Amino acid sequence: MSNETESFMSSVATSERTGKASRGHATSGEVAISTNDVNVYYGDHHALHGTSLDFHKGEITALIGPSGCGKSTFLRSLNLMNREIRGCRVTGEIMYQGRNINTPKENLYELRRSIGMVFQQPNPFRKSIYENIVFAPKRHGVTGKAELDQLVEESLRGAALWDEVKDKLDKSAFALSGGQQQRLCIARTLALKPDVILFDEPCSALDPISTLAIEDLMNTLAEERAIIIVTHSMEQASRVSNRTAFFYMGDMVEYGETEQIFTRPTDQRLNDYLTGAFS
Amino acid sequence: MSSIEASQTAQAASLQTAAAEARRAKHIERAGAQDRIATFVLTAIVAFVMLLVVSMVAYILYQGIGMLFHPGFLTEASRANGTQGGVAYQLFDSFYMLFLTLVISVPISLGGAVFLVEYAPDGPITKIASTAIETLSSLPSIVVGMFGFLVFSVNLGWKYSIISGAVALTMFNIPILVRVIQQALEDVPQSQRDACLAMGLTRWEATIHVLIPAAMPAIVTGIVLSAGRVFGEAAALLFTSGMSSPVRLNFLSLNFSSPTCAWNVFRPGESLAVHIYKIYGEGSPQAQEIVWGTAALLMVCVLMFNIAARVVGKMLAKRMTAE
Amino acid sequence: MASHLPKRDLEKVGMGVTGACVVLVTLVVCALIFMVAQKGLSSFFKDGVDVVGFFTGTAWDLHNTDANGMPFTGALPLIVTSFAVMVLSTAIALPIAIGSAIFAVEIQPKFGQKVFQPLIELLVGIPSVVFGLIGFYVIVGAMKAIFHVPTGLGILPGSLVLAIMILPTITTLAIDALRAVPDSYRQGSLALGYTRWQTIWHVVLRSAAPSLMTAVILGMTRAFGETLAVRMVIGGIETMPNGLLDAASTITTTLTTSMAVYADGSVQNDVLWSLALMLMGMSLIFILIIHLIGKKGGDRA
Repeated sequence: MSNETESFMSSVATSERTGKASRGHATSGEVAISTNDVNVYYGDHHALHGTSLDFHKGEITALIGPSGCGKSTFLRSLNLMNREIRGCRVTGEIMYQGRNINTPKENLYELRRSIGMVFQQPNPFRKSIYENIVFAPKRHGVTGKAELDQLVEESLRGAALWDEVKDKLDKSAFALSGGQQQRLCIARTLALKPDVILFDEPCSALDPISTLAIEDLMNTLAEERAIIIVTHSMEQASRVSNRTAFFYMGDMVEYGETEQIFTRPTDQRLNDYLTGAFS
Repeated sequence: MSSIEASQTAQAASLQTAAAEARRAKHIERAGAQDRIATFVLTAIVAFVMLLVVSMVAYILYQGIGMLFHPGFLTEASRANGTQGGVAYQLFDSFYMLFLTLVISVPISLGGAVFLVEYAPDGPITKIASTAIETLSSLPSIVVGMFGFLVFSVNLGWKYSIISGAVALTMFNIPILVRVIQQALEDVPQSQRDACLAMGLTRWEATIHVLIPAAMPAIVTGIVLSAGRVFGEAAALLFTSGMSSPVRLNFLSLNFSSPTCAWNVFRPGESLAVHIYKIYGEGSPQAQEIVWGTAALLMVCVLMFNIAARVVGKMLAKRMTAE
Repeated sequence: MASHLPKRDLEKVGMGVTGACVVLVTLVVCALIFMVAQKGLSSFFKDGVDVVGFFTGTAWDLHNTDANGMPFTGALPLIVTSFAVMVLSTAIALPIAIGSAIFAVEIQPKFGQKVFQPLIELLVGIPSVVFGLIGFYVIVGAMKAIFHVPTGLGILPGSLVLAIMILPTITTLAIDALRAVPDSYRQGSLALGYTRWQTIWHVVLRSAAPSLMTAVILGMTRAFGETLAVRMVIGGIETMPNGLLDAASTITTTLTTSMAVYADGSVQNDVLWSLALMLMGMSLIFILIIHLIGKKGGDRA
């Protein structure tokens, strides 16, 4: 076994030590969202080939692979964000709450309330912290000052940000640090009470301490939700996730329990990727 | 090879290298001289252009600024077909037409730009519409004026009127505004759009509540700058708003159909720029004073628009980042 | 209010409202093109004005009529004058504009951005009648003094005024074009030991050539369509000009002076619309050229 793989093993072991809250749910979680033979095309380019995966409530699933392998493309299919890209076409079934959502009839606006998304760059609005949180709920029909106030507190607590910002809710979100901004974006998503949250490389713009804070947060969030995270960092995948799917050149190559993926990869390409033969 | 031969060859070679070296040195020197001459010529050109601009502005202000403080010039109506009196009505008509133009052109341009950027960034509709807008922007303003004359003044029977003029100016202004607003919206980071859409909001909500506010400083700057352009436009107005204001205007009248009511959009009107065109050839010293005074007034307004655009844009941007 | 609409409907409303703006503008432009074309062609098809005579005839006189009761509609003097002022003004403005752009980007970029560009943009804002006024009092006067001509009006003062007017158009676009050239090109050339001027001449200008061409064409478009400033210094005599200081009239200036004179539907009025059609045709040709340049540049890249 190579040194690199060993180091992954030890990091897996470390996260085991620190206690992964969601680990215990690994086998018991019901399927929150699943895909069946999902393909994505950008114009003529076939970017993702027939991918079928299940994502469980109470679990974190990491999608890993080299740049351009299709992992982000796949993630963006799950909340139908690919529909916003001109010339992008998604085929196959995406089952969510007992129905296939990959149909023209699906109400994307309702859907995206329950499947939240957090992006690579923290992208708060140029508004106050309070407004950032209530912006979307207000437009989805939540009214009433008391109700909104409570929502703000709940969401910020949920994102472990309340204590840091409770005295400056009317201050601009842009005054926060990068890590705080990203947690604000998570709080903003929580305000819509989603049961699936998609993270698209949420820590790639953050420093190590903020990264750890977000990772801790993800563990907590996963207790009652399904979390799916795209990440470039294999350490991060091994630290936080229960299951991992490896993508390579538009194919979902291997999927399994994170420990198995990192310690006993069966596919040669995955093995090469883990040992740093390419990145 | 003997040693003598060898030294001879070496000598020849070194001579050759020396010659080549000299040629190269000369070449480098020539290139250096060329560089210096070019720099000098370019500096001279820029100095000339700056002198030209400054002296033009200074000349206009020098010729006309005195008139601005002349009692009655800004407050009296013109007499004797514009060769006597003041330019109060022209000043009012200019701002009134500008106001109407902006009231019509800003919403249309905003809507058009939002559609082109947010709803159909590269569809066939966008291609056709962009070509149409480009065509409109490159048309001579006299052609726009003639079209306005035919459609609004003749066919719709609006005759020479403030509203015909404002609509003609709108056609002149829309391409400028659409481009400015398009650019401003495109400069808002894509991540702001994504954030809204991923929370189940519509593109419409994203545009109204996030994108337009974020693009506001650039949009306002663009609108004010375009206002300066509209303010000085004359060719499109000759046949639409006409070349004369009513002799008497009543600013207190609210009878909007009265020909003397200042706010009546169906009365003829004359902008400052048109006024200059109308009387520039009049020989009398009084008329000449009025022409230069009007030109200085126009320049001062344009300068103010220029400064206002920068200041307001900066202020908005500052307020947004500070909040 | 609107937020209580179902989201799908709200999106439809947004798309409908903004789409309507785009459709409105597009329709107005189409109507404009159609009406100008229809009016402009009616002189030939309805009134029987000779097409060849219109483009080649040298007698233009709408006021008087010939034996057949038709006005004299030879537009060649106007066409020649229009092209003359356009070419001449571009020839004057071009070296100055490109030279200033090079200075403002390559030699003193900070000064260029902070001082020179705002100043030149000020020139864009000056109304064309003000240019005309300065032309009428200063340039025309200078012509009289320098060349000892009686009026000082004509193609030369017209071109000079236009040159100043299109100078900012070409300069600002040229500045953008030069700024768009990647710095790595310059560094590569300087690293090879070329002087700054050699770098500008052989590398920067060459790679910016298509955009510079576009800048020039846009300047020409403005020069061709400019009306009142030219009208104030060119004299307004609709005959074939014999020299650069001979009073003449361009297509646009003829429209200014004659348009309001003749009733809608008369032969004279229709012929004026033919001139407008020609102006529009030139605009479309200029746009086409710009697109062709863009395409060629794109193909090469």
